[in-house]
Amino acid sequence: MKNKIADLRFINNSGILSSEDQAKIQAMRILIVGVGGLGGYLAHALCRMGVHDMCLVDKDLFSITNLNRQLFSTPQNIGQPKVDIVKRELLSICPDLSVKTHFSKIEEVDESVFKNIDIVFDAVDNIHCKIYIEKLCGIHNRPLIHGAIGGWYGQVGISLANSNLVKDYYQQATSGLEQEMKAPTFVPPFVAHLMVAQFVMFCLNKEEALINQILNIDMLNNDLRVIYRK
Amino acid sequence: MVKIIFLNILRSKYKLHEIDVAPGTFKEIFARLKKQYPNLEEKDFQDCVMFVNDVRITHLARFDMILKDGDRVILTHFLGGG
Repeated sequence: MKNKIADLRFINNSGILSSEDQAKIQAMRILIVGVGGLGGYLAHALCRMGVHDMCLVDKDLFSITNLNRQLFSTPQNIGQPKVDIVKRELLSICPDLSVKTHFSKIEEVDESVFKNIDIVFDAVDNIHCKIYIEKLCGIHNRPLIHGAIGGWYGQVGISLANSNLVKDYYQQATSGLEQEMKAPTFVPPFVAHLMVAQFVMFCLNKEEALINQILNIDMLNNDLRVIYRK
Repeated sequence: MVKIIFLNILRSKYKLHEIDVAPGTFKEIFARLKKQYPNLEEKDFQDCVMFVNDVRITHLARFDMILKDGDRVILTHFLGGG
């Protein structure tokens, strides 16, 4: 049975991924910072894409206000660390997944974690931390898949090490539309899955990957376009 | 002409997508737009973020910036949620 699952598990990826492509994705070691709105969907999708090695960082517990959008939030797990619940759910999907967790702020995680990571995902909920994660990626020479949301809107991009894409995009900004427009149910999964698509494109060296670019997603006006590039 | 592209909340609020306008400072262009679309609120354009040909223009510099023929201007707002 186990061999049958191994053989068939990714058969529905094979329309767009060769077996070599699938192997490249499976070999990637991932760090997801923030496993709430964006991060829960990222962890789930990357697990189903076949990523074998994940590290999750989040300092928060699930709360009632997460229930509108966060994939793994349920009334039963309110008050529990997000990283613990996400790990449990990922292992139920993929029992042989290697998943490490840090129930803390990224600022408090030992930077040695970057040694065993290939790609970092930014799924945190504030601009200050997004810029900090990009700085860490620069120091440790790791690419960053960036994402952000607010109201009907979102953005994704890939910041190569030391490009300062995120820092230069935000400059002195400290907050955005999310303060007033919050995070409706359907925006985080859409933006998170665009981030996963960027991850796949990046792994496969697709020229369409948004290298050092910010793609704006306006779901209310059905509009996607690059608004910033370095 | 200068292409002004309204995104996100500005597009939703004012139902404006892309407008071609004559060159000038952004202050002059905004004054012209305001005549054409009297409901435009200056505060929205003070608070928003502006990119000219993919370069971000800071809030203070924006209104005095000269926009030239062929420039592509994007007006939007930051997003920081996750």
